[in-house]
Order: sequence, then C-alpha cells, then structure tokens
Amino acid sequence: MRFAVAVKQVPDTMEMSVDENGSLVRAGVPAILNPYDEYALSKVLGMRGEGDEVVVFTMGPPQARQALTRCLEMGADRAYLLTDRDFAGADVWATARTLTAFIMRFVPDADLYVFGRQAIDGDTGQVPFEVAAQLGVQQFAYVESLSSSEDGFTAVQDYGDVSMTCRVPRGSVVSFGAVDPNGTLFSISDYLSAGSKTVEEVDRVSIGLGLYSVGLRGSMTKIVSTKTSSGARRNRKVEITDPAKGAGFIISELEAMR
Amino acid sequence: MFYRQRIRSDSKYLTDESKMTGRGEHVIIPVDDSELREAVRINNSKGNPITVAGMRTGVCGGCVPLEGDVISLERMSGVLGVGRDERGYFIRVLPCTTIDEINRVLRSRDFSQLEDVTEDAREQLVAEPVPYFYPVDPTEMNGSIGGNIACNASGPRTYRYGPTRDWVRRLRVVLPEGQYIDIKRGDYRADGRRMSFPAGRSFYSFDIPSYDFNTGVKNAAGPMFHEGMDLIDMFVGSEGIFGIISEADVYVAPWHPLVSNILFFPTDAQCLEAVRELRTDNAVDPEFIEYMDSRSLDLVRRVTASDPAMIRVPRLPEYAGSALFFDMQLTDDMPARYARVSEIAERHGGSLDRSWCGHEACDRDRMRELRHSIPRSIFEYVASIKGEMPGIHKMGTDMSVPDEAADEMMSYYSEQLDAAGLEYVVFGHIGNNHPHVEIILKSMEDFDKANEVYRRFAEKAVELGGSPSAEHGIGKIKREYMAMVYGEKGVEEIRRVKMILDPKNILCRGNIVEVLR
Amino acid sequence: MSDCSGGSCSTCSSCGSDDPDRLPPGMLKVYNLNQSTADGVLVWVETEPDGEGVRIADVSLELLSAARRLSDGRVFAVVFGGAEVKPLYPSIFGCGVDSLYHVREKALETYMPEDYASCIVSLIKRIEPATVLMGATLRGRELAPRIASELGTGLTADCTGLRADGRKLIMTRPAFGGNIIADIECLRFPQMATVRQGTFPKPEMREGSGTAIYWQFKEVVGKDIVSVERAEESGEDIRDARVLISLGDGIRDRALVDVAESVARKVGGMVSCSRSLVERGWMPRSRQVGMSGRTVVPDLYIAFGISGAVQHRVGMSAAGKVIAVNSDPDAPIHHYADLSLIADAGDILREMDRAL
Repeated sequence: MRFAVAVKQVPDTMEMSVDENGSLVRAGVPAILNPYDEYALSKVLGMRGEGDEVVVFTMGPPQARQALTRCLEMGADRAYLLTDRDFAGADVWATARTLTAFIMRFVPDADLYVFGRQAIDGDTGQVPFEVAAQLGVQQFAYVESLSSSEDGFTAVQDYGDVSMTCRVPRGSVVSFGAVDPNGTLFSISDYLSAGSKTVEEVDRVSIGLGLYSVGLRGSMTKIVSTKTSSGARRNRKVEITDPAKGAGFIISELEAMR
Repeated sequence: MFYRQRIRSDSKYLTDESKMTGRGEHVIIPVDDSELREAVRINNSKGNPITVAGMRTGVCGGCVPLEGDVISLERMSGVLGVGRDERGYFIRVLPCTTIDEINRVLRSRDFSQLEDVTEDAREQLVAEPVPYFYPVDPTEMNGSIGGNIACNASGPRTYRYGPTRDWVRRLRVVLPEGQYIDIKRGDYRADGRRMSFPAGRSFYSFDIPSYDFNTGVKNAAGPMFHEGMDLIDMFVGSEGIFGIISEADVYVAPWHPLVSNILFFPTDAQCLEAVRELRTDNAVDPEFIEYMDSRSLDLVRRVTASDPAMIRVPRLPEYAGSALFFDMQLTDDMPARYARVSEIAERHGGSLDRSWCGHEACDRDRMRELRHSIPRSIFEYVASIKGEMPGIHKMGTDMSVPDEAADEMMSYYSEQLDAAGLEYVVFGHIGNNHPHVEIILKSMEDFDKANEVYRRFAEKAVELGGSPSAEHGIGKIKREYMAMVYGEKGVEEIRRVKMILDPKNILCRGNIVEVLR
Repeated sequence: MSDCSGGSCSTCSSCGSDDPDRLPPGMLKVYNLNQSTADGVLVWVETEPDGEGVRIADVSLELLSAARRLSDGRVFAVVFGGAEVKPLYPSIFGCGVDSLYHVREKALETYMPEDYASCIVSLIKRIEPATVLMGATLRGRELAPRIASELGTGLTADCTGLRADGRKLIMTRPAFGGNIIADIECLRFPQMATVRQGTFPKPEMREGSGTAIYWQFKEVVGKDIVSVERAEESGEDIRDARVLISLGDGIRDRALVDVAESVARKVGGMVSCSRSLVERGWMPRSRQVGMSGRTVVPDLYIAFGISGAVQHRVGMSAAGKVIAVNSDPDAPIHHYADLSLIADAGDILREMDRAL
C-alpha cells in the first residue's frame, strides 16, 4: 500500500514573542515540523506493513527540506519538496490547488492521503478538506484511530459529541485529530537510513499549473492589514494577601470585558 | 551596613534539598563584596558562627546552619565580564549566578552589558563561529556557581569535561578573619607540603594534610590536598570551611551540535557489558554515558501512566529491559561511528533498531526528560507507599570507583541489597562508574538495613580505590565517610588547617569535619 | 515559515503581501464573476441534540442575528434534519431570516460532509449570496472548506471579527498562535468565513416568521458509516467559550471544581483544566487545554493554580487576555499573563463565588 502524507514546516510558535514595540520577534525562532503532522506521520508509520510505501510532501521555501529530512529520519520512504517562488503567498485555496495538482501528477495512486489536524502557525485546518473536494474523494476529519483491512480502512472520528466509525475507501483524505505528547522517538537505524533517501524538488511547471493558479496570484483571499495582537502580555504582578481584593481584581476585569 | 533579619523556625534558610533542618539566629544578605566582608568581620570578632548559603540546592546539608547566622549570597548574582587567556575564554561571575543563567547569557551572544576582562574579549567571543557554554552540567541547573565550586560539582558531562575544578581560573575568597585574597591558578603553589600565601596584612604558612586527594575517580569527598598543590584547589571543594567565594572566573567551552541516543538492552547485565566497550571505543567517543536499569524503567512505566507531570516522557517500548543514554558530537562520519555502536550493541543483545536517536532540540529534550523522570518517579513512588517513617523514604548512594573495579562494585551493590531484601533502583553516571543506587524504605527495619548496607558500600568503594561521595560533597550528612577515606589522621590534619585559617571556627561549622573546642 | 516576511512566504494563508498591483489589470474583475448579482448572506444553521429534540447551536444564532446587521440584502438560512427541526422555525425567523431552506432528506439526517457540501453548493448556486457564514465548530470547519473548494472561492477560517463594507466583508482572524491579527478580504463571491463562537452577542430569543422552503437534494452519494455513538460528554465545547475558568495542579480540593463551575455559570463562561485534573479524574478530557487537549481562544482566560508548562501554554497562548492566579511567584504562567495574582487559587475562587 502507499500512503501520501502532507506536512508543513512551521515556526515554533511557543518560542515566539513580541518585543516592546509590539512587533513580532521571528529571529532565532526555530523552524520545526508541525507537531500535528508529525503525529499523523507517526500513526501512518505505525500501521505500515511489509512492502508499503510512505511518501511525504510539503510546500514551502527551500529550507523546508529540513522538515522533510526529519520525516525521512522518522521512517518515511520518499519526500517531495514543492518549492517555487511562484508558490509564495498562497492562501487555503491556492495551497490546496497546488497540493492537488502535485498529488495528481506524482502520487495519484496512493491508498490514503493523510494530513495533520492543522498547522500551529495558521491554525486553519482547512487545506485537507479543500484537497479532498478537489480530488473528489471522501474526507475523514478528526480521526482518532485508523485500521486497515483487506478492502480498505476503518476510521474512528471524534466529533466531540459523537464518535463516528466509518469505512474509508481507498484514495480518501484522512486528517488526524490530535497529537501524542508521549509519542516515541525514531531509532538510530531510521536515522541512518534517511541518509540514503532523497528529497525531490518539484516546481510549478512540473505540476502543470499556470502562474495565476498558484501562490498569491492564485489566492482567493488577501490580507488587507495585519497588526500585532494584544497577545503581548502586559504582565502586571500583584501579590495578594486578601482574597477578597484578588477576587475584586478579576471581577472588574470581567466587567470591563462586557 | 547590610541586611540582617531574624530567622523564623520555618524559614527556607534552615534547609536545603537534603531536607535536613538546622537552627539559626539571623540571615544576612550582603549585596556586594564589601558588605560581605563587613559581615564576616563583625561575626568573627564576636565569635559568632556563620554558614554560607547560595541557591540551597545541595543534598548534603552544606548550607544548613547548626547555630549562629546564615549569610545568603542570593543578591550577589550575575555575569560580570568576559575574558580570554592562553587556555581560552572565561567569564567572570558573582557567586550566586545559576548555571542556567550563565548558559543563557552565553547563548544570547549579547554581551553589551558585560565588561571586557581582557582587551576586546567580548568582541572576539561574539565573532566566534560557534556559541560557547559552561560545560559542567551538575544536573541541577538552578544551583549557584559558587555552590558548584565549593563542592567541586560534577555530573553526566564530567565524563568528557571533568569536574568543576578543571574549569576554575580565578577566585576571590573572603577568609574567615575578614581579609580577602584574589588568586589565579598558578599564583601560589605549595612547596612540597608547605603552603604559604599573604592575605591582607596577614601571612599564612602551614603544612597541608599528608593525604593525596583521589583524582583517579569522580570525587567530591573533602578538600583537595597533594604535594605541590595550587592554592586555588584548596578552596575548590572545601565547602566553605576555609573561605567564602565572592567572585570567580570560570572557563567556557565551544558548543558543538550533539546527537542524543538511547540504546535498549534485554537485561541489565548485557547493558553493563556494553558500557565497558562503549567507554573505550574511540570511534563512538560519547559525551557521557547514563544508565537506566530494568527497575528504573519499570518504575517510569508505572508512574508515567498516571502522572501528568510526565507529559513529555516518551513511551518506553516493551522490549526495553535496560537502557543506556549517551550523547555524541554530530560529525560527518556518523555512519561509521554508528557502525561501531551497532557492533557493540549486537554483541550484547541490542541493535540499532532497538534504540532512539535525535539531534533536534525537541527530541534531545525528551530523552533527557526520560532520564530525569527516574528520580521523579522514585519520589512519586515513595510518596504513594506510606512508609512508617515520616520524612525518610529513600536513601541514595553517590559512590564512584575506578574503571577496573566497576563490575565488582556493581555486583556488590546487587548482592548486598538482594541479601538484605531491600527494594532499589540503579541509574546514573555509569560512564564514570558512578551510578546512583536509590534504596526505597518501607519500614523502620528497612531504614536500619539500608544504613548498614550503605556503610558497607562506602567501605567497599574506598577499598576499591573509589570515593564514597563522588559528586554531592560531604556537607554535614556524610561527615562519617571522611575518616573512612582519610583515616582519623587525615581528618585531624584538615582540622588543623581549618584552625589556622579560622581560629574561632566560625565559618560553615560542621561541614566536612567537626571541630571540637 | 521561519523566514516569512511579506511576500516571500509560500504556504500559509495567514500573511502575505497585500500588493494588488501584482495582479494584471482587470484580473480582479474577471474573478468576481458574480459581482453584479450576488447579494445577501447565507448561514448554515447547525443543530445539536437537546433531550428528545434538537436545538440551534449558539454560534448559529449569533451568526443569524449578525447577518441581519452585516447586510442590507436578504438573509438566508439552511438547516438539515427531519420533522424535529420544524419547531425551530420561529426562533430562526426571529433572528431576522427572510428565507429558510430546510433540507428534509432522510439520507441526510446523519451529518456527512461530502453530501452536505454538495447540497449547500447547489443552494448557493441558486440563491447567489454575497456571503456564506458558518460557525467555526468541528463540523463547520470541515464543511466550509469543502464548499469553498467546490465553488472555487476563498475561505477565511476561524474569524474573530467581521465587518461589512457594502457587500464586501472584512474578516479578522488571529495567526501565529495569536501573536498577530490579520484583516482579510475575499476576492470572489460568495465570500466565505467560519466564525468562532462569541464573536457576536447571542440574540434575545424572539419568535418571527418568514418563508420556509423545502430544498430538494436527490444526488446523495452517502458514506459507509459503521456506527455513530453519542459521546458521554455531549454539549458545550470549551473552544467556544468567551471566558474560561481554568484549573490546574494547584487545585488540591475537589470541591473547588464545583466552586469553579458555579463561578463559570455566573460569568457566562466554562471551566477548563490542565492535564493533571483530567488524570486525577476530576474533569473530563473534553475540558483539557493544551497540547494533548484542546486549543482555546477565549477573550479571557483565568488560570487558577496552573503552573504553565509549555504543553499547556500551546493550548491557550492565543487567548485575548490572561489572568493567572498562582501562589508560586516563579510559576512560568506569570510570564504570559496580563495580570498575575500571587495568591492561593482556592481562596480567590471561593471569594469570587461569594462576591458574584
């Protein structure tokens, strides 16, 4: 069987901060493999059987190769890096269109297209389902567990209020719903075998899309303005001896919010 | 004038991580060197004992006062400057700077707030292609550098970098009578066993003890003495009985990218056999080797299942019977080096498939997390079995032996503990033949048995040419081992030096040796 | 991307150059094919089980009433379900809906994203709304992209603000873990957004009337559903709450969970927690914030006795305002709180419960 897993390199948002002037400090923030994608990949690697192939792909700048290398070290077999200046500035639609075009050219026969729940930098979680629609296949969101059988797969989806068990036809899009903080690490053998695997670069022309179908030009939304969030915490510390006073502080904040 | 306040009986200044509690009158918190000296002078003139405290992370009660006042150096903290000499870069620090803080400053590579100790040192350090770090990793990164120097701290990285002593360039020490000396390594050396040096208006000259400090193993048992020794080494590891460190220069080392590895083995015996080969293999060249025995792994498995604090500890595979944790520098010839690791692992029932590996910070952190989860799991475990003795639930060893005696010591541990019917786990710095044996005490009877076994371990370690206190120091808790190592004569000789430097016996009374009046 | 600055970023939709000149002249018009006719707002009304029947999800109610204010044109609503939906008509119309499309297909009584999307697409093609809104619920976040993709339009997910400029919609959403806030426009009609609960006030319940139309959708493909199990913990989602009273390891008395529930009720919020309380069995997993739990973005997050390990922080860093109550002055939570109270969490909670 063949699994195609989409991943993304993201800045470690936990390390990000805002300076005194209110601008976002990106310098020195490490780029990591999106934890949700890492989880999805580890799930796929966990169900891989003899002769199965796991292909990972990402769209990003040349440095995103690093994230793919990590996937290979984790045990993926092949990696594609979709990188092209023309891809820059893509919104959900343009991203999904690019990924779909890639899938149709390079991994049209995968038994499953696997995604993480969302990227920690964008938090949208929309790309998997736009890809599903463009591929014209079924989608399975918030997947908690996935098992394979002879005629396909079975997924358990967690919708919060209901838990849904569905049969997953071959070629569907699956998006895993969580991360596993106690997840295991890759082995020295995996790490060493990554050395012989390659990351293939793919550009716009090789997936057959026009200049106005990708990146900023192919996007259906545009950013009009951005500002730093008030998320820059003021961090006022008060030592409280009288609980009533402390409660008063909080209640006045609650009232200010109304 | 300096800050001085009465100590309440529940004060944090009366205890440390050993959980031993003492008694004291006042806490004095000097903000600089001159206040510190003034405080020492006043107390000395009254003959009032003073005990020095830093971050109070010690585990032997070194900073716990038995009487008199506590001098807490907590406000004397910070990195002051950067310098460079023929050996390399060093930083100038105040005594209560934590190891974490030192590394944070070094990592930031922003030295604009610091001074140049030697010309253009800051600029040169910034221009270095790699960041620098303070390489002695005492595990407790929130301990103070002063405390680290005073007990000659070591840790897993001592395997490659040696103990704290090797990194001390210069000390400024306030002596018990209130004068201070500012000494660099090489300034004063003993002539044979005669040590002489000036301090303020005084001039000290005395015979040092006749023993030779064991540097063949990891050792934190008492002060160092040997023929022709450097004066600075007398203060490193002296736990404050000869003077108070008020400023220090410590060397720093270039940092290299590392890859962390954990190898799993079916049994403890196979794991220990692999250690012997890994240690001597030049190709593998580990930064440190840490051991986690089957009992530790089982305990971690049990506790992580229920403890939310263990959130990032990676799930242990079922086949993991015993584990070795080691870092390697990331080089171009990793495949060849790992081929050596593979040979060694496979000879002893392991394989590269049954391993973990990671070079990104997130993975390396999680492997450390596993190692650190062991003491934590022990703590949780003993808390869950309600022992009969409030306060004491476990007893940990801290003994090192030379390489050739490692096997004998390891089997002695298990023989004795099994014979006594005690529950225990073994983990820690196996690279230095310095594992921690943690004995779990479930009853008063266990406590007595453990005490007896512990004493035998210490004797055995000394007999095999090792140290009964490899890294924690002696403090007040392990004082009885001094006679075991150095004999009554050695202890008496240390006492004599102490009385020359501190005739009123005011400083850190009760550490290392007891001085009878 | 770590080096994302202005237009060099390539994969995320959350930032980018706002230079319209990059498009060839006239390109914008070409994309806005339906500009002349598209008008009004369509809202997907999500229902939740409520005893024997169903009720309208709060976020849908909020969107219905906001739609009325955002648009001078017509407000359309679409709802799926059988006869149990009929009693909801008056409340839906009460929010100012002009036309309600009720999809009464037996096969569509169970939620299926593919067929729901196709059905809503067929409706959109008929009524040509300028804007399509749905709640940023688990289902909304899954359904909206499927629809947007089939229509080839833009979608802005998880908005925390909407404003109208004529028919044009300006959508606000946080990005980068909430560190920046972006205003986004859609270049094509219909403009689509999923909106977080609490973005608009919940309307007063009013009864109204309007036109209800049964929408026919015969092309149901279906899905191979083995089973659907109602989870024990149904109901509210902490991700939708505007105020969260969050409890951590420092809460040592189980009775405080009830006190917190009482406080949350009084302030119209919900109680969430860190992992340790779930492990202790004091709170259900659905209330857990953090890496292994949920990511929440309330306007106000009040952390009681939470030390603030990064695993927790990743789940709440985007909150509007953070107040931390912890007796440990060195607890890391204080570093990312707007207001830190160094005090016993239990004392403050009890006092709040009394005072409110």
